[in-house]
Amino acid sequence: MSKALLKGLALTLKTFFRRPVTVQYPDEKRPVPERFRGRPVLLAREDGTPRCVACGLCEKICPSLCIAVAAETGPDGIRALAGYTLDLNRCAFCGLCVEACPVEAIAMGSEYELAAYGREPLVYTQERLLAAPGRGAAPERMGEGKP
Amino acid sequence: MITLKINDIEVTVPPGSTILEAAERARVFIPTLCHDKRITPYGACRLCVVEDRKKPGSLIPSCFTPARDRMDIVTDTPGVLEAVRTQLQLILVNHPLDCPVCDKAGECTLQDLVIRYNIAEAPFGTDRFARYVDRQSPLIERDMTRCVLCGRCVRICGELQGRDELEFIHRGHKTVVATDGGRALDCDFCGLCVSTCPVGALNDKLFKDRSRVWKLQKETTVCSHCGLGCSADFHLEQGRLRRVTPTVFADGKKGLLCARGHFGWRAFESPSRLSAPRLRRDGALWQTGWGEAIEHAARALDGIRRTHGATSLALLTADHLTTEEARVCGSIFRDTLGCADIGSLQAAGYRQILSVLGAELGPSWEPATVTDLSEAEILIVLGGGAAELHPTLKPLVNGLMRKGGRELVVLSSWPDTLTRRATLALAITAGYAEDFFAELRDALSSERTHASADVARFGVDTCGLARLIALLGADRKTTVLVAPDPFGDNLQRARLAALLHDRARPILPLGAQVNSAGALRKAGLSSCGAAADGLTLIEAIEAGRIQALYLLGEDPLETLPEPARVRAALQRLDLIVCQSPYETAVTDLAHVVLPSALIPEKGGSILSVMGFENEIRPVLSPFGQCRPDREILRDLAGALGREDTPRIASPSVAQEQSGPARSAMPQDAGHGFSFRLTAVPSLFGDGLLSRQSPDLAQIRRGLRIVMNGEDFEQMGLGEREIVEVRTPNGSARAEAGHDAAIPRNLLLLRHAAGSAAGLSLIRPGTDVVPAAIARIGT
Ligand code: SF4
Ligand code: SF4
Ligand code: SF4
Ligand code: SF4
Ligand code: SF4
Ligand code: FES
Repeated sequence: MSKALLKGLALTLKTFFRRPVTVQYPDEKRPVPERFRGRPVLLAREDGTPRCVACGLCEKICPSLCIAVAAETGPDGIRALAGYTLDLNRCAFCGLCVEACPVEAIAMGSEYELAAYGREPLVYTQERLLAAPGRGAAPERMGEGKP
Repeated sequence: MITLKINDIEVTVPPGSTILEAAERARVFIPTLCHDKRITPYGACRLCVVEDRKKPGSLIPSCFTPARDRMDIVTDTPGVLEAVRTQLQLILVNHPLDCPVCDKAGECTLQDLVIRYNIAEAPFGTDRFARYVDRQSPLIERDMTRCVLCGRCVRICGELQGRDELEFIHRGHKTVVATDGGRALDCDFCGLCVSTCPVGALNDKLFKDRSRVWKLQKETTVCSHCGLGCSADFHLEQGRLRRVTPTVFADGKKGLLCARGHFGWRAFESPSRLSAPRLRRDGALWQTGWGEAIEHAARALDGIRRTHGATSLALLTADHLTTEEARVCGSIFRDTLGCADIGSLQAAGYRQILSVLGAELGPSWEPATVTDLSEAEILIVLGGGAAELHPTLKPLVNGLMRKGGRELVVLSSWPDTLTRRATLALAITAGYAEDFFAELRDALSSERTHASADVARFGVDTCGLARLIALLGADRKTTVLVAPDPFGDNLQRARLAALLHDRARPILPLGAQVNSAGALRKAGLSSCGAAADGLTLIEAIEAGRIQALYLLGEDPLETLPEPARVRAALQRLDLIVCQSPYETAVTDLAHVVLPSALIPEKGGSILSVMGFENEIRPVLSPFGQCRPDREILRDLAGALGREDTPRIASPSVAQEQSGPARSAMPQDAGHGFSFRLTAVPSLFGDGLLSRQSPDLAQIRRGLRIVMNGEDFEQMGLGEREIVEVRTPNGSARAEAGHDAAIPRNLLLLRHAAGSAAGLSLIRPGTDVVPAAIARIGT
């Protein structure tokens, strides 16, 4: 009996002096892994405009029908993005939109704290979806969530 | 019959069929890129290669190689597959990776084939030569970087449309398709080139960057811009119309459309669509509810009929009612209200010709059908403007003429489109067409063989006339087309057609609006009384006989000559009811405005000029509070019933066959008027619907005046210069153009319909007026 008790106490004693593993979420956050599938983000070019060329392939492939892409003729006469809406209420975070995109204009981001007080705020428009230039792409992602 | 094997499937095809057609019958797929069933095979892409087991190793292009008896064709040998793959890779050397931004993606033949043959690598590199992109042309964008040089556009424009606007220029790898001199397109805008381009090199600008093809739902319906009733595919994205294309029929062959059918669809959502009923109160029009508007209309109609009698009411219809609606309309106006003045302005010529033919040939007479047209060895066109009134006739006739051995005879007082294709073109001095037709009829009916001497004074070439008479004597299948004059009389040409019919020739009257044929031939809503002709109607209003006018989509102010006189006449009326889809000039004078739905928004039957009966269902949802005419008329009938209107049969008004007094050529020529002006129909549509399309307006470019090239040079005019045109009736500014085919001192006035200034130039009852031109600022 005492053997088992001692064993337990030894374990307690051992962990007593280790650094705690509990992450004090939300005060503390763990970094997300590289291939984490958080909220989809639209990637930007160097000048801050979306990379998206409004081809509509993400809209077509999305199994949850949550994307709506609106196109217009750009100043150079070529198809350009007029508006992009992604309804997170429906998004399954499957990442198919990212697979479909021919110009790597959309990526799965690292954001996962998506709770909101209603459905409306979860319908993301182009402005909210667009990441800052150079951000949102996979390589930079590891560091982002660090406390 | 020829029997051959395709991939071991035995098929029998008629002689003259190609291997490709045989393969289609065997349901074997053969890739094609430069082939369109509407035009002759060409053999540019060499993707359609097959092998004959009896001649191993030699590749046969199947699209133009005739099938022969006992051939043993295989389509999937390693040699064939290798050839197709190499060919595709060679095309890709010069093709950009534009799919994400190209509107063709999803229905692109090249894209489909590259995926089908799994081409993922580019062994020949992508050495791209910069080619031009034309974004300036109206309605059509040409992105030559995407062109695969299949030549389909060049061929369809030349072979079918007969326009030869597009041509290959340069040599070798620099070859591109271009207009002469590389200018922007200035053509018929039939859109056939867009419809045939297998890739995204020719794009419909109205569709460009608006949607994606996989989001569209296709509804096959009928074009409502004219009475030919071409089959059209409406492509909708969630109920909104995005584009219109020629229908792809069951055999894979595409149909034909003209500029109006292809690019005129934004008229359905024009900003001048009426969206709610209006009533005139205290001199102004106020929006109101349907119930009140219809009650008011019924009460006013009934009041006028009681005070002034049934003869004080006239009805004008734009013939955009379905056959069922026209029947209801006839029963209300003719049977209940006793209205004896019924007519149409836009389809007046067609209605006149049909009624003359009906009167002369008896009730059992039937107009020609499309078979009569396609099987005819001789086509005779009486009057100018057949292909302007119904533009798809042009590719249709060109297609027939290409088969060879046929005669196209055009008797016209101005060089219209068909004249240019005619094997025998008889030019009549402008203003004398009707006299000539009358004379010719006399000559033919009295079997005078030396008619030519009498008719030569109409400017007609006697040799040509002798040939025409010889052709009429020949025992060959002949079909006669009768094209009405937009502002002149049509009695004589109709009587001549009736005479020609006696020799068992089918007659096809032209100039119908979308359902004129149905209204007349199925619903019996034929023209009668003063309203049969615009001029007599205005005279009857001026004389005070007609007090109320019910307008079904018509607008006398935008259709009849002398708008000032028409306006004064309309202002005398006690009641004008506008039951129309659009707000037009006459809306302001109306007492009751009832917004009605357009053809694509309603269902019913429609009869085309060639006797093809279409049952259509609504493909668009009604605009605003618009209602289909049948509902409005039904409610009107109900309201009239409450007014306790006694039914009276229409008083029998003597049918005025002769119409108003018309003069061939006004006497006041001279006095500084050195030209003669004649108003001609427009290729881009003079009808209510066509005029509402912003895109057709863009290519119409307003009022235009076309003259002989020498006259043009003599006046020192520049291309597209705006000039001042004067006639004894009025003056207007118009864009000047020239055409070598027009006789000297003749002016063709285009796009007068809908333009008050243009209409003020012409005089009612005659097709030619004296005119003068002056440069602005001199
Ligand atoms: S992650 Fe999946 S469900 Fe979400 S938007 Fe992309 S495709 Fe649609
Ligand atoms: S697939 Fe990419 S480029 Fe196309 S619309 Fe979506 S995000 Fe834009
Ligand atoms: S629109 Fe018609 S006429 Fe114009 S280039 Fe194309 S095919 Fe030729
Ligand atoms: S523009 Fe289109 S139809 Fe014309 S040659 Fe090029 S690919 Fe063929
Ligand atoms: S010919 Fe007439 S029916 Fe045919 S597309 Fe043109 S306007 Fe429409
Ligand atoms: S389809 Fe036969 S050569 Fe192009």
